[in-house]
Amino acid sequence: MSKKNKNADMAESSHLNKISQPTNIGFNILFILIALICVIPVVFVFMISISAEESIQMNGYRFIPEVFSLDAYKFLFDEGEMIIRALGVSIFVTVVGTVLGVMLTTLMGYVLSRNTYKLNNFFTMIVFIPMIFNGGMVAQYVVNTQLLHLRDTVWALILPLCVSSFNVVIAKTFFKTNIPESIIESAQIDGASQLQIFGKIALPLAKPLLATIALFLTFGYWNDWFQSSLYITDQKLLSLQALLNSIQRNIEMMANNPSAGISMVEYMNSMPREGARMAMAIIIIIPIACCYPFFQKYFISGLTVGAVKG
Amino acid sequence: MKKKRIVALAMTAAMCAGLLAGCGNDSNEGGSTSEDGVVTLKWVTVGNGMPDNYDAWLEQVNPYLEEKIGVNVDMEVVGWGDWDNRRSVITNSGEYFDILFTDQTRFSSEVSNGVFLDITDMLQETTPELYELIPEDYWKAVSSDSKIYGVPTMKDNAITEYFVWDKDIADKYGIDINAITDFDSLYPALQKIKEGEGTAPFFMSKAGASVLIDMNFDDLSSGSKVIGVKYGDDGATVVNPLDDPDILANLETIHKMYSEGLINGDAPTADDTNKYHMLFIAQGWSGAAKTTWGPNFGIANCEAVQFGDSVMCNKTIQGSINGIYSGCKNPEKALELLQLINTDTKLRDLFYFGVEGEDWQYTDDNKVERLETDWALAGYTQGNTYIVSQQTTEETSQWDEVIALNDAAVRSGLLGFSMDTSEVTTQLANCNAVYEKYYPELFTGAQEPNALIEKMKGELETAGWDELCAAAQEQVDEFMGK
Amino acid sequence: MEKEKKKNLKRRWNKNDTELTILALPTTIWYILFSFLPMFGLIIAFKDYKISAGHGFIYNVFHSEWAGFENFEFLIKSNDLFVILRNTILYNLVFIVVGTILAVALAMMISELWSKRKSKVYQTLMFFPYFMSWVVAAYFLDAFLNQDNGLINGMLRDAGNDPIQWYMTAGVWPFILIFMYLWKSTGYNMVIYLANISGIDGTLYEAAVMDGASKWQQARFITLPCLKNVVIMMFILNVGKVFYSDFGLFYQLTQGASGSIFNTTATIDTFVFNNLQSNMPVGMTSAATFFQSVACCITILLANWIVKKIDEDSAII
Repeated sequence: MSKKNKNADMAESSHLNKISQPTNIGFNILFILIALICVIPVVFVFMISISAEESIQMNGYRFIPEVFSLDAYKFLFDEGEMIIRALGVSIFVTVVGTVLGVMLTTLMGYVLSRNTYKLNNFFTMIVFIPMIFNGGMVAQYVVNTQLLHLRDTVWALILPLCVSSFNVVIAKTFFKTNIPESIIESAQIDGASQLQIFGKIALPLAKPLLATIALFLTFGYWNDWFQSSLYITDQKLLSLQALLNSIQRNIEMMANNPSAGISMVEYMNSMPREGARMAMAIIIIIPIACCYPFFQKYFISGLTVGAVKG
Repeated sequence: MKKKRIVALAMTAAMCAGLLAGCGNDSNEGGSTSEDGVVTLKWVTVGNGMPDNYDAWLEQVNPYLEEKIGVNVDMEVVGWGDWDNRRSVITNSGEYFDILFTDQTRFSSEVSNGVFLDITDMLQETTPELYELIPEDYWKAVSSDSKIYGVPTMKDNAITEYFVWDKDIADKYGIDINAITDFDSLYPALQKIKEGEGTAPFFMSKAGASVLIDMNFDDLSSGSKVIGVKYGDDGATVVNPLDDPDILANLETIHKMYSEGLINGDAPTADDTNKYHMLFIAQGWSGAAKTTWGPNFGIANCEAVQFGDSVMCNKTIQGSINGIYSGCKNPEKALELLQLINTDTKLRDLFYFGVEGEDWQYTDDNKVERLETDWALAGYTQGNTYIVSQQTTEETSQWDEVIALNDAAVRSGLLGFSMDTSEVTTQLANCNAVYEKYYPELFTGAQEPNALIEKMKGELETAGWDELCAAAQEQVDEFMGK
Repeated sequence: MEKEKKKNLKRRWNKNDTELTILALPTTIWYILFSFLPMFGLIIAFKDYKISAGHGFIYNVFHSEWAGFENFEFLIKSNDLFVILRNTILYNLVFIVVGTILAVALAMMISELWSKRKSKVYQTLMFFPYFMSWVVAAYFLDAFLNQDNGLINGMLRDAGNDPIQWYMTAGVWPFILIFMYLWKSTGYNMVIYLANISGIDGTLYEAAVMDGASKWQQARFITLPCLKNVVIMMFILNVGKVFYSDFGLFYQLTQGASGSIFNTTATIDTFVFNNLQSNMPVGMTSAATFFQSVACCITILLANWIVKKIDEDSAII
């Protein structure tokens, strides 16, 4: 117990005991190693992005380039307008999509978690079937373009991704295990409607869940390029990841089609070079890494926060 | 209370059906005609995505087209990487377009799927000039069952393979590159360079020397590398190219090269990246060494030496085709547009180089000076490349050489024959699977060829190669009998 | 529990049900539009899909001829069916088991670190790989494994050994692929367990400390049992994907998943991609996906059934 007094940090989180010091050091060393394994590739990508194009051409990728050059970043700076627009699209899609997705996911998750609900089985099926079966790319394309007219709109990047049965099941399980039936029943006796219970009781208790779902959605939207490759022709609507991916795949396609011969080689020349692509990969990681701590406080801040008391 | 659930289910089903009916609607929005009778044609093609100055370009192109043939264009330029998926959803979903670019990888399957309109009669009635312009062999190559389904592009329609050298390196070791026209004569030269430089001189990507098949066999437009008819085989026997003794002999040489480190070790997995190479194989024409390969691969003094003959078959001609949608509402207009772009130099330049005054301009001697080189449309996809204006950077028109190569090419006896694979789709796919699995290690010399080919043949047999071959032979015989 | 449900079905519709239905409505509409409507596309797997001039997709689907199971033949009759099925399933099983153990263990460890600031930094860094596409990761791997100028072969040469053709050595790929999978996904997978650990009732630990429980005992008797539900849920969800594989992982890193390493790297998805390129009928690709869906449906129902036998509450349906 004396340790508690020594450490103010610990006092806050009402966690009364700690792991022993050697264990703590051991864990730290382990995590430092893991963190290194995760960061070195990023450093590697960064090193390529500041290598001179000639040294990539001659020696392939190296950790320490022979000749340094900031050309890649200069190139991106020259294309600044395009990059900033793409960043804007990425942010808009991610924010709107995440908000919408969290709403839809938790609503459904909450409904499914209510055992006494009559249509529970029916809605479980509604969620379960799409987890297994999907109509395929062409059918989705037909519905999205010919019925919903989403082609070349920002909604084509947002709507198709905002609910996933995976997330709904996570939400359902969370509500079911972490929100005691007794609270809900007593609220009902007080005359609260389900909407009130959901908004005033369930959601405030489900902050870690909201953060988890929001995080999954945010990362999903930020990383997505496939929607863009199907639905977006207008270059103004390309997100950052879509921009990088389209360049990447353009090059890949040409590199894998030597039979198309010289006509392809010519077009390869107009593609951004390796350095520029790597610089873009760096630019994609930075904003999202900066936003992670925002979610993080719900996962790691004192272990008891958010838990249900009695 | 099961009723409630049934009602709910029924309601959902009804909603689905209603919505489906909404999008099952056949009334595509395309093919619009404005009040003054000007038709807007939608042309789907591949390139570097939509150009930034697309609107400015439309302002130049559309008035010109309107005046000449009374149409406007609406281009959809799909990025290279998105092309495969996007064209597949566009054609299969029934989305409206008028003209679609296509090439040998998909042309025959799209024709058999019913994507393209039969333009045989219309060609001669509406656009006789276009029909006359393009050689008859080319029309044959884009026909199926004697019906023409697309307009082929005049370009490098024969394929010719080259050893592309860094001449400085060759000179350093006293190698006469012009004397090297096959793998056997290449071998000692490579040894000499390797001894001096210490690194592997010959770069191969994972495609390796698989061009050996393309150079010697007509693939019957099957898209498969494991069946073919050898050029010059008048009996037109369908065989497995891997059985060919010449190819095997070459592969043995290549295997020797690989084992001795004359070929880059990562060849079986390497891509055709823009890295510096001392020597590599490429398809094109010798002039391209100066204009394209040299600059792209960072070779200061680049020279290309032809090996093998130029060959021409359906597949090589089909490198660029523009087809008209089978549901096109204004097929005559679409064909007129294709005729104009194949005959009118001004329009051709606009499509090829971009916005006049912004991307390029005419000089006094009617050459084109490019101001920007990042125009997103791919010139080779559009039409006749011979009428594109000569650029100021070129001393002579590079197309003269291309035309000569086309004329000199060995022609397949099966021009105009394309195999109907619908009865043997499974066998074809499984045979291709065997080839796909092993070709990088076979054609880069990473594995001993005799044993590997035996292994492949064993797997081909279980994959149904015999049925595939029999079906092909039957169709070929029928065609030759005509 | 089961009784309760049955009672539930018999009771009359009440206000509660109406309110919950309204809450479920927006998401249901989404499901209808984006999941159920496109499902008519499943029919293509059984059709010889042809385009009729000027008609839309639905017309074409219904007017194409039935092909029976012809589209499935390619996959079923393939020589390699056994290999690709085995690889897909085994890799997934290893990913599920090792991935879960690692993620749970690391999540428990990271939440015990003394310094919360450090643990936040570690977490953030562990997320970096998730944002690198497999293409970029493949460059990185190539820098180590490249035959001519890779780091490892460079070291082998310096030590006087013969270089190894990594991209043609089948035996090493299971380890590489498992390592790379864990590298990319562990940071992400940890999140869900972290969220649940932070949801555990703190009074449980307080009580345990009063009783003199050690840290290890707390982990074993409080944290792990509290995570049981979510671990089982993740297990079922992942089992529902054992016939799918992460295409980028298997294709990009191995640079094509073919040749000498085919036997240890090819999965259903890479196989379909390599062989059903655009000139093959759409029906065949649909058939491959349909095959995967049905297989997954069976496994997920089976897993759910087994879980239900053991512990009713943890099942997802």
